[in-house]
Amino acid sequence: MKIVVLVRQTPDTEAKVKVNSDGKTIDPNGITWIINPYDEFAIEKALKIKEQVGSGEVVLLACGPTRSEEAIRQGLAMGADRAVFIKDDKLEHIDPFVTSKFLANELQNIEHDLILSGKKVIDIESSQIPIFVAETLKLPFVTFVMKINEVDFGNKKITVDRESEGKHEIVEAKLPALITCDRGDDHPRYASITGIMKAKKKEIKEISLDSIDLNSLGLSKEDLEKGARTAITNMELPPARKEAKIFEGEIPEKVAALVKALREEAKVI
Amino acid sequence: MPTQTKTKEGMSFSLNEEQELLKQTIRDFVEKEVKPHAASWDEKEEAPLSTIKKLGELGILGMPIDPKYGGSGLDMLSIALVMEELARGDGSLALTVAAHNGLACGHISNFGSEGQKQKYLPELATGKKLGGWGLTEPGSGSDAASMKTRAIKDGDHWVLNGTKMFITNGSIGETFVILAVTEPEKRQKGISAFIIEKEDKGFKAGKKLLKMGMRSSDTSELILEDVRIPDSRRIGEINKGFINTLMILDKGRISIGALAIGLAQASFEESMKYVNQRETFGKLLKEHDVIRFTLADMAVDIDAARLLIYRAATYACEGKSFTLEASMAKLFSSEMAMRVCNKGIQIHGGYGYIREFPVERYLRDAKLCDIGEGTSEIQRLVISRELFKKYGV
Ligand SMILES: Cc1cc2nc3c(=O)[nH]c(=O)nc-3n(C[C@H](O)[C@H](O)[C@H](O)COP(=O)(O)OP(=O)(O)OC[C@H]3O[C@@H](n4cnc5c(N)ncnc54)[C@H](O)[C@@H]3O)c2cc1C
Repeated sequence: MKIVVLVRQTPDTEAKVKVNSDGKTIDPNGITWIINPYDEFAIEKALKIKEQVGSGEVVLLACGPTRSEEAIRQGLAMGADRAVFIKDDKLEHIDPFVTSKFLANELQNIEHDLILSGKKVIDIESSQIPIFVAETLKLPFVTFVMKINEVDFGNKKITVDRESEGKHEIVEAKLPALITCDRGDDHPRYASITGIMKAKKKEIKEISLDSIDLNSLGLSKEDLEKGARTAITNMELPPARKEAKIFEGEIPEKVAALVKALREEAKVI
Repeated sequence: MPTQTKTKEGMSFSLNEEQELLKQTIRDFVEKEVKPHAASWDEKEEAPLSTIKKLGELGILGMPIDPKYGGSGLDMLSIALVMEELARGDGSLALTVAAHNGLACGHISNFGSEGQKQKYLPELATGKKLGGWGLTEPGSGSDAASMKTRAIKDGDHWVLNGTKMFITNGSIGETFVILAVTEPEKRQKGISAFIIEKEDKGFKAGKKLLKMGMRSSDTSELILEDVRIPDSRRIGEINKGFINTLMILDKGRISIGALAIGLAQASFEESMKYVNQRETFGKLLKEHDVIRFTLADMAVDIDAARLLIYRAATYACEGKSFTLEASMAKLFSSEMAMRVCNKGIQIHGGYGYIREFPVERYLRDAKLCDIGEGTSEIQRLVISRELFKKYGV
């Protein structure tokens, strides 16, 4: 039983993001990086499956700049067994399509019964990468999964619970499959101190960009810089939120003022 | 990311990747599971047992213990990093850990027999049982060697009588290391250490002490009345208890210093947030030079203490003697924490003085660092003694 989890490093949700002067990228200075929170849910789900089955391997697969190694180590400290890391600082700004091509290509070298990933990455708010990967590998996939109900590696079957628009769908898929994970009831475990100590000795197999034949993946050198399918042409911070309006006085007066404002200023009623 | 460079001329001031990961993991845990509750734990004056249990699961209760006995086997620098991060969330929780880890587990780990280690360390390392360490008595603190608790040999047993005072984890702990006089005329060369279990007949925790700060760390008296234990409970050689204690305290001081830094750091961070919110005289607080300078002084103070702690801890890791360095670091860090936490309150003005804001708690907690594991005066005594030795004066 082998589970591969796709992981990505993203800026901390608390980080104060600044846009670079090129207006297209974010300034990495002063940012603390974390493992994409949804990927943490995926790792937690993978480790739980391994614990239930009582054997098997959880392999992390990442594609990104050097700094991503911190996120990989964190996953290893949580309990993943080893990692494969497509590592190059040129991978800082590649688009989801290119990322998925690299990941899918490497997945052909890693034995897998199941692939898990976060339901989205919080840096570029994208859910595309895992789906592209599944499409490239012609694997069945289920997105936004809250809970993995059952994995039957013997009969190559997985049953999951996905939530969509207020309803739950129970979906069965054939293995190998790709599942994108939401939190559900899981609380990603904290790495234990022994986990951290062990993580240092776990293998991170590095794949260099030079060893990948771009042509055979249908990619060109420019795709790395400009993006193959999508490119960010402009990036700006959301406008500062307008100050809240506080109504003063007795409650009946306040309510009247509020209703008036909602009607005349906000024009919502 | 800062890369670790080590040139022939310089020294490295960067933590390695593993230490960074450790710090980050503890910080995450503290942000989610400790910080939000610290004020209410303080209010209730009760040790948060369910959170302490979680610390056990993470391996924080077995930091100095060899992995062979289920511990995490951390070096002194890593332990200091963890202590700072814990105290940044809650000083009391950090103190609970310091007494359990550094003192009780440390004493058994360093000086216990193989049998004692196998019997006691696994359950301490996982937090199944909490440990405490009893040196101080109602009549003796700084002058610990004048203790009165007596252990008298009776065949292959010992009988202990006496009272211990200010014992951290006294009423929630289950495994205690107790120092007692075995040969009164020899003073510090006549003291031995024993393991006492909570269930031992004649042993009980006295009243829980209500404190100014560190209020959710449990502090109690311990009472020993004809507690009869086999000789297999004696730790290390007879009459070596006090000398071993001094070694335990050297490391303990690094932990308490790191704890003080965590409190100061917390106060600094709260102040940084506050100056960006509060307006006076038409400006944000951060726009007043005096406030900016205060923050600058706080940061310098904290960093200076941190470097002293890192040095002492690094010496300990390298197996060098570190008594002087640990005392200097503990003294400076504790007094620094009082200065910085005091400034933190000042920056908050009236809000700093009320319990809705955490900065008043940091100051109350920090005061303990000036007292526990050797008061600041005792640190000055140790430092001057070491200096006189060094200079042959
Ligand atoms: C919250 C808390 C937790 C504690 N936990 C533990 C624990 O787990 N285990 C344990 O064994 N102990 C513990 N202690 C005890 C602590 O270590 C002692 O309180 C401390 O060592 C000081 O001893 P004392 O209180 O008897 O003060 P004293 O020794 O009576 O000192 C009183 C004052 O005189 C000063 N003084 C004393 N001698 C000299 C001198 N020669 N020259 C100059 N000044 C001097 C001291 O610095 C102090 O300012 C704890 C204390 C507290 C408050």
